[in-house]
Amino acid sequence: MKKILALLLTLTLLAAADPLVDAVAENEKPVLRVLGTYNSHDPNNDPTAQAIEEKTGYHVKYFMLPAENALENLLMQIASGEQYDILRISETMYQELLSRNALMPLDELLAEEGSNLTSKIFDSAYSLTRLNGKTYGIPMMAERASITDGIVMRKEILDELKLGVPTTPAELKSVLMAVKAAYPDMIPLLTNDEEMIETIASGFGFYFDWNEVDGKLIHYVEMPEYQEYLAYIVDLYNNGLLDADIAINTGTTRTEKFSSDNAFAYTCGGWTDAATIAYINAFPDRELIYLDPLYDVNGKAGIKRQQALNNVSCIPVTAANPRDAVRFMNRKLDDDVFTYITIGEKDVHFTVDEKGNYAPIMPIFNEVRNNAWWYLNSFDMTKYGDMWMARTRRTKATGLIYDGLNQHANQFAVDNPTDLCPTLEVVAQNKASLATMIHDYVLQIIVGVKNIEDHEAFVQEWLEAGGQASKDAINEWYLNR
Amino acid sequence: MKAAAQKQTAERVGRTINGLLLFILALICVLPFMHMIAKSFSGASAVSAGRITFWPLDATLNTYRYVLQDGLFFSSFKNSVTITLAGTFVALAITTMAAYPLSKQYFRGRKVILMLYVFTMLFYGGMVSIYIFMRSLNLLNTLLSQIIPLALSQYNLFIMKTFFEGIPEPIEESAHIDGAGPIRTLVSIVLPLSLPSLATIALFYAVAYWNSYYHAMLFVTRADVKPLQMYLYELITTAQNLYEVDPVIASGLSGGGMQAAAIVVSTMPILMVYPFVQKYFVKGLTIGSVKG
Repeated sequence: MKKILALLLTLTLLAAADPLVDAVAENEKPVLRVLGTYNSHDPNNDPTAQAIEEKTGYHVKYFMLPAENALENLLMQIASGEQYDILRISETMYQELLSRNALMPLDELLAEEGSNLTSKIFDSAYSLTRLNGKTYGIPMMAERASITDGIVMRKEILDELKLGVPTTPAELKSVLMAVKAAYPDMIPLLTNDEEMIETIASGFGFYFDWNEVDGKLIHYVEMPEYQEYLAYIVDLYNNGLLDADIAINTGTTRTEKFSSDNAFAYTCGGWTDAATIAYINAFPDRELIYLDPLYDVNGKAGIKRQQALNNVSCIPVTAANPRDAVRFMNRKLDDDVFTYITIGEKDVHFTVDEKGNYAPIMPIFNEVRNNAWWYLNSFDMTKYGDMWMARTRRTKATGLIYDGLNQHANQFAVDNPTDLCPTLEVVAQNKASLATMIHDYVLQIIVGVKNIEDHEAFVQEWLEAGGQASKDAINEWYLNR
Repeated sequence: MKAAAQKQTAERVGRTINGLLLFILALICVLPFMHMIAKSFSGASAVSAGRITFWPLDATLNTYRYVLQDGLFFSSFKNSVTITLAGTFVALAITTMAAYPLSKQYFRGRKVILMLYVFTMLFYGGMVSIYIFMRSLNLLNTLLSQIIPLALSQYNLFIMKTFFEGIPEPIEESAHIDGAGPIRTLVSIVLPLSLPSLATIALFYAVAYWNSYYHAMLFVTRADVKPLQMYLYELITTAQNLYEVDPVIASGLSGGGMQAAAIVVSTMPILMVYPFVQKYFVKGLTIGSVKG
């Protein structure tokens, strides 16, 4: 399928190879066609779209990819010569189009028309969208480097049993034991079936998928620390401290269990974690404790701060108005325009207190700017992190969770060494299958189908299944970055 | 006398048991619907916590408010109705016009044409070719692009053809003697006699059009041209990360409740139409029409 699409794409591109001239005269603004990823709103009838037209003077027609098979649909559209001026797509889609030479290099246009785009977006971000020294996409990073993984615990139970907040793996185990003894029917720690619970992994001295050891990056499965971590998790499971259904839980069942008062602690997956939000909404008077990452035997602790590439805006070679597309994206980054189109007007839609904390004025904020994120091509990387906080504070629950997870970020957050790694082909190819492999293995270890003594054999299997190739590619990038 | 009374009692017991069994069977069919309807009207916490049985808890209209939001629901509902009505009409016309000549033994080249239909049943050009075809006709982002691909189902064509073959030749001959041409014969004689199979096939087509979203997924990138099924499908898919998109709305919603509401609103129209279509499922129109 992909090969056929690639062939078609090449043919179309050959056909469209005449030099691209903007179809419309300098001062006349053409109608721009923008294609974005799926979201459940009508992009042409949204207050943000109107605000953008009002501020930039460009009339834009927006189109959306479907929710399913989005990549195939995109390739098909581009291959058959469908014309768009801007594609706002995921990194994977961007890499696919890039590898098929379907995108226009932007360096010249950026130099001439993109003063905001080049000054307000860090060069480190551009390094993710460059190929052979040429820039093909405007990167939009995660709005704010944030901690997205944690464990929440119910304070009223800790208080009632007079238990302190655990800070090491051993303390965590004894707290869970105490809860189990007092409430035998309650699940002490309800978890997602994740391969690595970051808060606990910290207690064994590793924080990321790829960790730096002696100047080289090593995946955690290869680290002796991971074996200790696994042994600890198995021990928790065998003592009945993890959910017995760990292997068959789904997002819905976890939400059901946590919000129906059946669990003491839960591994929360970020400020939009459904189970945690459902719990907070169901029990608004109770308090949750957000566990700091556990300390290891050397007294060190840390947790990953995510700073990933969210999406890329790029211009296909078949675009009719590339210069206007860059002008349009650049205009959206003018300070006054940007603030207005992303969070609205100060004291009408949002407030800023004397400490610089942004908060939304509800419900008007949501009415006019709820879908603003969909229209962003990128943002001012020095300023937007604080402004974006207004979005996390749209509901009490999401605000509480974000602040809770990030409460001690200054003390514990560690930047992921592979955050700024561009997509490497070998790594991307193997990523999903390797992750599934580890995921299945971990579940098998936990429920006792496999034995921790077989770990070496598993690591070998993992290396052969693409782990070694990924490791080589990542290290090559890491040493030459 | 006694035996008769015994027989009566036995009959009564039998009937009661029978009735009871049928009642239980009916209940088994109805309960999932009740559960779904209850879920769609319940509060998010109750649905998340799995407390819903057959009656709504913390009754709310939040879920419906979200599913029916922004007029997008109504525009896609309108699209689906248009596609279904126009599509069924077009499909019926094409199918009967193709099936009628093919049902005639004397029609030359009939076998070759039939083979061609069978061939396209087995081999399909694939989505790339059909996409390019639609694009070259300038039909992307239109309702027509969702009507044309389903306008002829070979399966229905064969059902129709077989039915036409079963209509006694003398009826058509008598029409011919009365001076009717082939088109007149088809419209005035054959079609009225084929009402049962026309109704069945119309229902097949209508259901297929109502439920289809594959072609919309290929050809539609504009929200206002999407059919209902695609709108609901995407709504449910995004329910997974709804908190990220819209935490305010999401707080009053649950994935399960939304699914339930989507199922209710998408099945209701067909359920409501069904009783009216059913009366056309009358058989035996041809019985007695040929008299020795």
